[in-house]
Amino acid sequence: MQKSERELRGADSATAAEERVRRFPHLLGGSRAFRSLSPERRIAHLQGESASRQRRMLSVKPAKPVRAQPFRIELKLPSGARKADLVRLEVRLPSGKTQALEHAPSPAELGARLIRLEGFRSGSAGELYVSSRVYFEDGSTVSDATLASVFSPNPDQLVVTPRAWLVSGRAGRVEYDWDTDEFHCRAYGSITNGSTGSRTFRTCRVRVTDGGVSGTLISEFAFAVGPFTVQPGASAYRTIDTWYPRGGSVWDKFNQRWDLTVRFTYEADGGAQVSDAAVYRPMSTVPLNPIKTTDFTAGQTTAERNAVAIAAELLEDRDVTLFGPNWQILSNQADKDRFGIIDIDWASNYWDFDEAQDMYEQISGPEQDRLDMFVPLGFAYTADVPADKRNVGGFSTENGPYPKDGAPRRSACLVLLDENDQEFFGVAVAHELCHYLGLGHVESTDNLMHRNGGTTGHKLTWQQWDTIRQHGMMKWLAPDI
Amino acid sequence: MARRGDRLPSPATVPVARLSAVVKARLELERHLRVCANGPLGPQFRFTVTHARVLIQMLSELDSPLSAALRARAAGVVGALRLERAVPLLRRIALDEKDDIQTRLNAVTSLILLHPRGIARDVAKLLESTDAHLRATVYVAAVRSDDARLRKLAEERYAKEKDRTVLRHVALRAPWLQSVSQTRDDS
Repeated sequence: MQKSERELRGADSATAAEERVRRFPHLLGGSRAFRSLSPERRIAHLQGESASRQRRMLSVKPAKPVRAQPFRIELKLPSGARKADLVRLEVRLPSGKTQALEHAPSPAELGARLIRLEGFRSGSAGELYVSSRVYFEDGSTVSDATLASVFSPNPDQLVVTPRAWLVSGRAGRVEYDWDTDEFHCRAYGSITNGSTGSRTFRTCRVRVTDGGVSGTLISEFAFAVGPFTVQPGASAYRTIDTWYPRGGSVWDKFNQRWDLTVRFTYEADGGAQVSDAAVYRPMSTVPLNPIKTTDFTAGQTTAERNAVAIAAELLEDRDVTLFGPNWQILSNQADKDRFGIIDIDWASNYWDFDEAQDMYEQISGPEQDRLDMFVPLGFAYTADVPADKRNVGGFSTENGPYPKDGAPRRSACLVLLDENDQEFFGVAVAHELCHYLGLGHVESTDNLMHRNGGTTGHKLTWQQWDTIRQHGMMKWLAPDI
Repeated sequence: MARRGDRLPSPATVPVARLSAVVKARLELERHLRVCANGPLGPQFRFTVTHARVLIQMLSELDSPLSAALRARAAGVVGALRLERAVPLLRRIALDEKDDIQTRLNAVTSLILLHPRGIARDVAKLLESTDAHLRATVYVAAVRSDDARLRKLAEERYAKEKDRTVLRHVALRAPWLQSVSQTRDDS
């Protein structure tokens, strides 16, 4: 996205497939063969269009649901002798509202090998994402996910989301550009054309208000987009960036930590319009040095970047973000050879992380007030580690030092690379960072600080937020906040 | 973020008591295999015969990110649990150059711990792998094993190893391999 003239206050471009896949956890991992497919092919797989020989289990009925009309989800159970005992389902509506459901198949459903789940309806058009996992009585599982489009009888609709989101729906983060002294509100928009004719869009109008969608007008402007055309029954995925320079009223309000509503209206030839709004909020930030402990493949590097993006989204639920990660790798080959795979030993009935602590002591990322997070390729457990303790995903100093050289052997956290499940990798990153910022484990299974990052959710309570915001690593986002 | 008009069924959970013993064991493993190592140790996790059965099952599932991640973790646990039924699957994973590297690293460690018949042939093949991290892991596991044949094989191959990453990684963890090359036959 190029800003050709500074006085322009918005820009729009097609959303890259690499960014789109981050919205769909099922596409962020899996077998090595699957994750090496291009992002476009993985999205096509989700839409059921790929040539994959894998039998698809999950479908939405009708295949093209309509906004405000009920739809159902169907699961065709695999044939064979296996008996399904439990179905887990996660449904994310175009608005971002997400629900996890469990279902015990009835004898009739098992006999028909078909489960129909009713009672769904979407208030807006856009992408409908469903993932499922069936547990069988023999201990095996089968997983699937699907992506459908909810159409609008309107016939056109824009759905704006402040950024990609995977596990939470919340206000968008305002970003600050220190070089140009501007706040940025960035968004993803999906425009669905439910009409019979194609639509060509050329302009986006922006209205910034406070106090909700009908609040006081703070600023209004328009900028040229595309032009791009959306065919009948199709969707376009756009990335929007608007910026607000110092001295303007929007800059002043954000600088005072106000929430503002930004309404985007795309205008097509012939007068058709689509419009949607999102709320933006200034956030605190944790400057981060993610440090690879050895050379990674391109796929492993992508997994690391995805994980940090997912961690940022989780923390943004509590108005904390990871500002401008400073991507690092150990520079010395001898260090890479030593710390690429970290040894974990067992001493005094506990894990012994001596090697990781040696690394913390000897190696630091740039800047004293940036949190170091090491990412090794693997762990090597010594023979003394019991079988039930070979399950470490990461570990961290609790309430780590600020500045870092206050206690060098405690000056970082560490998260194991996980290409296979990058959403979990992101949860682990957010979890370990929060340890460093002062949080301990909790028992609630829907909390990020549960021992495994939360099984039914990844929330942080306000009390936890109040703890981490007091840590020295936490910075305010903009000049006066 | 919900919009007017959104409707989803109420959150539903199936009581654990309704689930079969195997599915219960599976869910326990899914929670247990990936944890943060901070804080006090929880109660010891006791692997039962049912857990063992599920771990073997996990080694062949790859159809989602969760399944792939659990497969990697299961590959790292079955060796320490001495689950010999896992050998054919571990062997397939370890020797497949196209499989996920973390899963392979865990699989080779488990395979050498389980020490099945034909392990020397497997180790010889693994030491020809193009992946330096994998070879380094195999050297370390072989030299730490109780099998004199494996230790001798590792020693012979290590003497010819050229990759500096492998040499350094192994020298730190298995100094014996390094020091044994400091002598030569003088009979």
